[in-house]
Amino acid sequence: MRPRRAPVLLVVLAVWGLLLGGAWAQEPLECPEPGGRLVAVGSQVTRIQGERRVELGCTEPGGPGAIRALAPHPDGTTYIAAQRGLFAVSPEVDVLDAVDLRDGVPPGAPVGAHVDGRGKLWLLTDGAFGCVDTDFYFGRTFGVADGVGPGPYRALRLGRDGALELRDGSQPVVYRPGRLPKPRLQVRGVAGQPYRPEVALAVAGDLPIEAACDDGATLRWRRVGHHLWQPLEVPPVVPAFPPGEHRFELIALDRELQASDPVPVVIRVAYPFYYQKQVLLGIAGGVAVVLLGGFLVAGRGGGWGAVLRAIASAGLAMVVLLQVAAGLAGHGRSWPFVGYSMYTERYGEGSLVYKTVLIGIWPDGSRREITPGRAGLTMDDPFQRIAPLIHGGDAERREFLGLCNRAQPHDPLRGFLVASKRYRLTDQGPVAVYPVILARYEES
Amino acid sequence: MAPVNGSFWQRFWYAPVPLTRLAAFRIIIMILALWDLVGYSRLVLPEAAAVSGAGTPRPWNPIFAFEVLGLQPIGLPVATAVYTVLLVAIACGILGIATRVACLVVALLAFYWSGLAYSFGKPHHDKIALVFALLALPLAPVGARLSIDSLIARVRRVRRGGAPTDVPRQSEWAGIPMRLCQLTIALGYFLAGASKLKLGGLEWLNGYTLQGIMMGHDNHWSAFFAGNRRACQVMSAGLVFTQFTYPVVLLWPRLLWFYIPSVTLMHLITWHTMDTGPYMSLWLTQVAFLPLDRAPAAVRTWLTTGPLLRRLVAFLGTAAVIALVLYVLFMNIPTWVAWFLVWPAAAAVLWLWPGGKVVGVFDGGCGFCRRALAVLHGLDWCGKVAVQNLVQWDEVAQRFPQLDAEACTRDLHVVDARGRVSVGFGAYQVLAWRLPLVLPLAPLLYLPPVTTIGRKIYRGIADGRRRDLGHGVCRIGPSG
Repeated sequence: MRPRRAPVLLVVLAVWGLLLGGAWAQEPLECPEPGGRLVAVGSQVTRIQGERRVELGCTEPGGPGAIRALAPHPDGTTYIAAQRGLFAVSPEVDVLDAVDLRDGVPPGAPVGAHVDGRGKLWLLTDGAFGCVDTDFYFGRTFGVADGVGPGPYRALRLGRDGALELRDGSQPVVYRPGRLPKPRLQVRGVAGQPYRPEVALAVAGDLPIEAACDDGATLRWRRVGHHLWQPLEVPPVVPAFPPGEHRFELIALDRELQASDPVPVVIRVAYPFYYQKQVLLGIAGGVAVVLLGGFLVAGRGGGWGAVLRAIASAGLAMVVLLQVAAGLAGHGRSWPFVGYSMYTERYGEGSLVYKTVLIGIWPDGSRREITPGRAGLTMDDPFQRIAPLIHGGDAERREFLGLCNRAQPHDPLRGFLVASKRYRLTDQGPVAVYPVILARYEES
Repeated sequence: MAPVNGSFWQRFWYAPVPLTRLAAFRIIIMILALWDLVGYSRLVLPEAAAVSGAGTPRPWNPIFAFEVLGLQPIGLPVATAVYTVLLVAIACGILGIATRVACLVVALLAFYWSGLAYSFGKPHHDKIALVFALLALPLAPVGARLSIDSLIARVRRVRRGGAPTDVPRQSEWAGIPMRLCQLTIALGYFLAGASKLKLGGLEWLNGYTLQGIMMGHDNHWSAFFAGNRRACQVMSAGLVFTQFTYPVVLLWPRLLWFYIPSVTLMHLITWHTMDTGPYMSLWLTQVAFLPLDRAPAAVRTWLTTGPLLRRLVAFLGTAAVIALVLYVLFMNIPTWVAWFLVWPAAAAVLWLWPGGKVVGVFDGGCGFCRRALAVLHGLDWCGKVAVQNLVQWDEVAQRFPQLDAEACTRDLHVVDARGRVSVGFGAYQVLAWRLPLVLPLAPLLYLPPVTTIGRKIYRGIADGRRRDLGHGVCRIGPSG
């Protein structure tokens, strides 16, 4: 070996040594999951179930990046704080998928994560700390007012008594979740009118909400039948609704995303005059008369046969015209004159597709998909029956379980889950990613 | 004739159409109405029971028509009554008893039945063509063929002095239900295709969209079809093209050979990839485009002539279509109804059987015989029975020298292709095997007690007819 090459070789060896040493030095992260455990080393997560080892893939082409924390959720999902964002995996799937985070989530690259006993995800990023709702993935970023001083923090550890320790190299900052009382919300007015439960308020345009809630709480709203809670700014204004009667709900969320009881609001938005029954029927009648006149004139001199044909022609022309008009306007309740806007949504590469299903839990713990038909319920589509199980409380869920078990007493269920099966769309086809558990009910 | 005669509108709606085509369309639409009724009863009857206090009904959100008419939810007794009336009306519509009234009752109550289901849930668009076909059926002479009404009408026509086999064959009102059904189907597909382009844009064709829609509804074929994005792209483009351009079949009917299989295939795939249900109330209504009166002859030609391979393909194709329709039909209809299928199956064998033709020798000068001939002609759907009028005895004697004139005036004679003669009740036994509607009775006519009783009844009627001769109703013998 020539002497002048020796320093170069030494540098190369040193770099390799540092890299390898760094990898060896990084302790594997490990956490349990139903049926086994997950082990993360570097950017690779491995599932170990007895003798079976599966190296999990990732829907992100570049992978998750260096993995910094694993946070198991009671529903079986494991959240993975990684260099390229927050990922999740569940026992049903062999692939990590980026969590679609919504508003309020702490910005930045995740550094640490922990799920508390209520299923809330505590997330520390390189820029902020906060709480994430694991049903809808909206969040709340903590500030000084929430008892957490300015970072940056480098690590999140679970301390004694469930306390969360945020470390920045010096004395840790401790936050103890789960100590806040359930928030309360009092709605006083909607769109300038006094709020009255179950009384439809006649409104038009945006709906300013006058409400009182605990300090630090934020408000959210959703239409009844739509499960996603939408954020409200300060002052809170619910966006305008289309004509017709609508129901929506308001909740207050404290900084730990604990929700108040929902407050239902019923509103009625007037139809424009041209949608009113009398006007529509009047226009249709007028067109029919004009058509009849036209056909009668065209068939004049043809005797009764021509008159009958004119009447039939006017009716047929009306039917065809109404079909075209309904097809352009697109409304279902004018059936059998309807629009055809079904299946017109668009998806692209990486889009997430949801299918909400019921999963029955048998006394031996086994699980299978069931339909609401098991409870003898009628429905147009399963979600019509599943939605109340998501939105309602344990009373609705208990009633549904009772219906199921009365309908099939020889094969009773112990409980059920409402899960959103999810697929990530890729060029190679859809990839099943971790489902979201929207509701759970089990009887002991 | 109206001055608009010859205009596009006039030709489209009022071009004369064979009454047999209309009748076949009526029967198919009625069977579809039955399938739909039984299927939707699973939605309507439980809600009605809930209204009657057996649970909590889903929220009542009436369709616009119900709102205008002020219709409200009904309880179980009313729902059961409506269901029963509908079943009876559909049966009458299929058999052709008070056909127009039955069709009108079915149209109104089927609309009501669907409206009830949709007012408790959400409206669907799979049976719009069926609903408009039902509403248009009463406008046309729906009972003029393949119906009990038509048999009665034939007898009445003979009583008024008409010829037994002289019946109107087409009507300018006969095409209206089929035309409205065609137009509704074409508009529906066009608007569905146009909506995808208008609301989804060209991005709808990117393959991911179809992948997403399939997986969002996730049935047992979804993963297979959604697994290849390129294939999804091709399917998206084909789907939108077929839907958007479907109305061209109204201008170039030959294109039905492409469009009917294409959209049927599309619905079958969406059934298994998107859990839409079989959608038969839409794709089967495409029979409105077909010359149903000519279909049996065409199928018979495909099955019985030409190269063996072509016949085999035709057989497999026909069997597949029939099997598919029956499979979907029996998803709603109780399986014991399948026993009734032995009847049309036997009729189909009879119809395909190349031989078996007979000649019935009738006394054309006898009123009773003429009425019997009118009924026989109305029942001879397979064209197996030719008629020879006894009045032209010279022709009869030349053709069938084995017949005796005196015996022919006394009894009905039927001669088969081999020259074998069946007389009296035996002639009716022979005829029963050749008339599809009475085919199930044919074996029964050979049971000993039935034969004995049948002969006695026949003798009584035949002798009674002879006694009529004394009143100048009938003439006896070839010389009159």
